[in-house]
Amino acid sequence: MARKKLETLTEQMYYVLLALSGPPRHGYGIMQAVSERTQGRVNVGAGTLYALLGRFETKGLIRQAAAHDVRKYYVLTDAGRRALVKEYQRLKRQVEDGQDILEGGTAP
Amino acid sequence: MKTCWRPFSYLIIHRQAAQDRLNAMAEQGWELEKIRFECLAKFRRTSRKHLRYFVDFTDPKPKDPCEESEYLRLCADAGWEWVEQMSYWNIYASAPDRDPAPIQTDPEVEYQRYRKKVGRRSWIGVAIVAAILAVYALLMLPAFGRPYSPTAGELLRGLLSSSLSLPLILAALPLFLLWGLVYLIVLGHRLRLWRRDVEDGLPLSAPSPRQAGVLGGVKLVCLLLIGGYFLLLPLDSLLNGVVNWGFPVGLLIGAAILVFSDRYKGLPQYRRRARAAAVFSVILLACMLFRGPARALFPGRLPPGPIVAGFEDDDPGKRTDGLLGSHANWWEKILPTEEEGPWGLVSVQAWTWTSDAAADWAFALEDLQGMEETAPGLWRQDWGEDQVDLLLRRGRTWVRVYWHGDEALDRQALAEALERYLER
Repeated sequence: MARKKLETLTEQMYYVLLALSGPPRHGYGIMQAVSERTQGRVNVGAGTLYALLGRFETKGLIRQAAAHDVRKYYVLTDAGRRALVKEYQRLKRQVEDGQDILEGGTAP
Repeated sequence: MKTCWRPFSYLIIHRQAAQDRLNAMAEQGWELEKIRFECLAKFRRTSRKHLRYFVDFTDPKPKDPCEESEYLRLCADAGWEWVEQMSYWNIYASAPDRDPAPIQTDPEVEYQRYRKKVGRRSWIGVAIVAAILAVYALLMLPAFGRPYSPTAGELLRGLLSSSLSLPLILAALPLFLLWGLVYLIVLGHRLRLWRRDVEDGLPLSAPSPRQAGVLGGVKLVCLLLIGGYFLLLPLDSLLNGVVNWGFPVGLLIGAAILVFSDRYKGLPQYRRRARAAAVFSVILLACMLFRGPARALFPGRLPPGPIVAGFEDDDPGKRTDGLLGSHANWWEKILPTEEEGPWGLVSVQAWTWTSDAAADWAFALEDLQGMEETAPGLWRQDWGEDQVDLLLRRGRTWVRVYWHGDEALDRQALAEALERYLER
């Protein structure tokens, strides 16, 4: 199955980790942060988010920072930050690889 | 407030079809109030605009109820209010003045959720049922063909004349088996399509509304047949004593566990089922307790004994009435009042059927080997001087007696006693 080992991230996974790169957030806060960051282009469903948070926590990419009113707050771990940066750089290289061709008119 | 009931029967894997149906009802101004028996939905009128539903897979018996609570809370925060739980589904409605994103927005995550919450459990359930049927067949099949063991026809005859409810299940068995096969094929096909969709990054595909409706309709018919069986069971228990004491007692114990167990505190649907099971068990127990008085008021199609004048009912035996036929068997005796007075022991079997065809079929199963038809409808076999096997048939009814007694007792008088019994 694709992404079984979280080697590459889906768009939703990327933005969830991005939302946790700052202060701790709870589940709905993550959903709101992703929607605001992408201006509504990317929306993570509650069920999808719950599953992703479980996977990330199992893989050590995030950890629980606190719990208020039965809501858990999460934050990136060092491993999570490295995974996020790695994905960011991968996406950046993809954009750079296509930039010259698609915007500069250079033949592949 | 205006309400309505609608059939609501879908395969679990057809959650999208069920969701589309709920959304269609919402567009017409109906909101879901509750679902009963996994096939009937009650709706009520609503003036809400932009009401939407989402059907999500869930585990009806979660290993970690806290995890389930967290999940429901996150859905609520996101604008999805839990409405109802039906089998492996949680049904959510959008909160007023909210336009929430769908609960599942990643096909792979949704597919994995199905596998985790539903897939493994349902395959385990199928495997358990198949194993039980296989073990039952292995135990029962060798019994056929052995000396003195009943034939399949005799077992069927007994079933049709001794129970109101079991013949319903027997008649529906081919439908159940066919349905099980169709279900497995449909499930395997849909899962194969989903795996392809996940690999292609596409939303999980859904069946056509027609296909979902047809398969849901067949499921509904099966559920109605099973429901009919449970509706007939108390009456069957009252008249024919088909229920073993262990069944209602076991139901009550199970219901008590569901009601008083902490594990099911946050699962109101289990409490509801437990209360229904408890009520059903009490009704069954009452029927079993009042079977004697009920039978005294309603003796059934066959009159009670004794057949032979001067004989007493030694053993009341059993009397049963099914939909197609009735059966009674008992013992009668006469004991000597003087040292050398007459004595006899009579075993009686009586059958009657509601149609000529059923009667002819059932009568063909009688063992008449060695018997001689001494008069129209009267068969007789003598075993020495003091034993006789008599069978008298009149129309759809016949009675068979095996008499062992004093050689001075009149065989002709016995045959006339059978005649009088059948005239009653």
